Amino acid sequence: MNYQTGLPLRGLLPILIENLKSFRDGWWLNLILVAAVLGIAPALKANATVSLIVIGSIIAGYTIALWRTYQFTRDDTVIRVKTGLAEKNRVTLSPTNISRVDRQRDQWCLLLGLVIVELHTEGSEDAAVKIPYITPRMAQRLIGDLDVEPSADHSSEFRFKLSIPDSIKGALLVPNKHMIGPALILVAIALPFLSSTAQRPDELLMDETSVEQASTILSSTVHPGTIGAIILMTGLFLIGVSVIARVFYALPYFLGTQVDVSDTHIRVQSGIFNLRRWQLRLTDLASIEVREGVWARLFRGSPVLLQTRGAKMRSGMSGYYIPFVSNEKLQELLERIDIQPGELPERRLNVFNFLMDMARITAGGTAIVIGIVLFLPVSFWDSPILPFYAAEIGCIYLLATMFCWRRHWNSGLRVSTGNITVGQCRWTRNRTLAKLEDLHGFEVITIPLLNNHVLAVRPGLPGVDERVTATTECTPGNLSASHLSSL
Amino acid sequence: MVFNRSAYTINTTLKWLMTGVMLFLGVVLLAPPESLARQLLITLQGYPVYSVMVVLFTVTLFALLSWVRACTLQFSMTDGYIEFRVGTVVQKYQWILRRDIRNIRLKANIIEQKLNAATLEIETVGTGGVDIQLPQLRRHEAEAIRKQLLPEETTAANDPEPNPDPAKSPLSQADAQDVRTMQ
Repeated sequence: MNYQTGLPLRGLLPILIENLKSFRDGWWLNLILVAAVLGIAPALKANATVSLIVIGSIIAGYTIALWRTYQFTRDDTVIRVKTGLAEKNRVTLSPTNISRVDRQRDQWCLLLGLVIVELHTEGSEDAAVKIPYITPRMAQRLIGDLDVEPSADHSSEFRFKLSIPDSIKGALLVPNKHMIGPALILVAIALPFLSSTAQRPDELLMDETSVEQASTILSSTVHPGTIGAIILMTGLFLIGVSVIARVFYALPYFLGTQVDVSDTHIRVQSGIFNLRRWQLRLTDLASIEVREGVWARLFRGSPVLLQTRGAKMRSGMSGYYIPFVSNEKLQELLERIDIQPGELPERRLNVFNFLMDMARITAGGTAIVIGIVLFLPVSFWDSPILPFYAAEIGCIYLLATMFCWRRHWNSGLRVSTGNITVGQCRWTRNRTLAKLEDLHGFEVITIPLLNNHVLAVRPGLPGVDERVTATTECTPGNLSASHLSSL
Repeated sequence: MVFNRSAYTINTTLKWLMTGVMLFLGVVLLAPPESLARQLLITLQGYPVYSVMVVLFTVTLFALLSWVRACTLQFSMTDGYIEFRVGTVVQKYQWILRRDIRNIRLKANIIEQKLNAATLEIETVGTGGVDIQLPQLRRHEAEAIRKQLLPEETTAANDPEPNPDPAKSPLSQADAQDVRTMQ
């Protein structure tokens, strides 16, 4: 099988529009900023026709050149995609590694009779290869033989259904951050019913005075305590609306949840009208995250988040999430999916690592701080109330430090024969359990000058996206590939 | 030497400079006339020689730091895994299993193209975990590594059963044969 193609002529239009929309390679935005700073804008305005012709010709020329660079090649052993002009992309993919093929159509595809093909491999957050704006015939010749369908199996051996109290516990145990989005949508929907005079957000934005109000906010004096009060009020508001979302969104979502585990698959359906169903192959399951916070201990159970070697990491309620599993059922579930229930090491003070992590976070925010400092008027630095601002910033920084401390305190790592248990830097004490054979790599941050002291680690496991900073049991030696291969 | 240090130094220096310049330009555009940024700009216009010296000092400092970092780049490859190290004061060490590699991207921006370098991005099966990016490799080395890491491209047609024992632990395949260590 040998096939080679580029983009069809019809693909020029969507490429041009994508080009204009995405500020490709960041060039245009940079040029506009430089032009604005150098004061070129008035000159361009004075010669508008010539400017438009020149800029239009450049964009058209660039688009045609870009269009010509798209090249897709397929043979028996490999798929090659070449794109890009200023920044060249060359992707080579073996068809045996493809786990999912998506064919999508946006409005341009519908209009022009084209299709966008996305090839997903295991583990890649985005599509490994995106073949945009080709004809269906080209798509068929390129990837027609690659669609993968899971086999169906309906023999269920382990099953449990959540009672109403368990569903309520599940709704209470959803992290606040997963509730904020639905909560805001609920508030936006409910607002016109609660107050007939209240303006909708889109009406507020379209209001003629909104721009003036926004500019007034930027230029008005911020008194000491204002920023702290805004942060506090925002926090209280979000917690309040997340409580509403737990009742009106999470609970209906979790009522009647039923879990079926067979020899090959795990299936979950949840919601009063079976709002959501998902299933995954047990062989695809790579890690399982269990919460161990105060509430989980009080309720004698925990939410469970399953992670696969799938194409995209799925976290929180949108992922493979079982809202509440009692401790007994959890043991049974772990046995069924053949993952050992590992324990994290005891929490110990690891002050140096915590301070270094804080230094890293502080350094990461330096650019924003410098930006704010440069933005402030010169007179601000002579102001008599400067110490009050400093005190407020100090308090906010202290709060942020305590938040980071909590995350650091909950982290930990233990590698034992055949198993790995990870406590990621999170607000709650969560355990991610996995088999060692699913570990595909490791990232270790050390200080060579301090006898290779381990600052932080990050195991290469699905679902592990945070560093572990409490590294009491870690040395570079026992985390090296050569050592782990002996376990 | 598998890494192109010149390309790494220029690329990293420009990346840091661009971040700084974009931040400064953004603030200057948005900040009110009495802001520190605007006042600083006015002051610098009064002392062009000092301004040029400040800019040159910044560029030299960034270039020097980038070069020191470039000297710490290390990459090694065995039959079982790939290792990558970078950093002097704080060192980052990464390893990934070769059998878990699913996708390899070869990228080259304008600077890399001119200096005959390329960046290799290696994606593994894990999500949100450890993927390795080998920055500014020499072009031919990047191609050679890519071909070594994707054997399916050349051997899959002749090897219908690439993994005869899937139950075997992947880490047990990490026997250190044919170790290549490169800087």
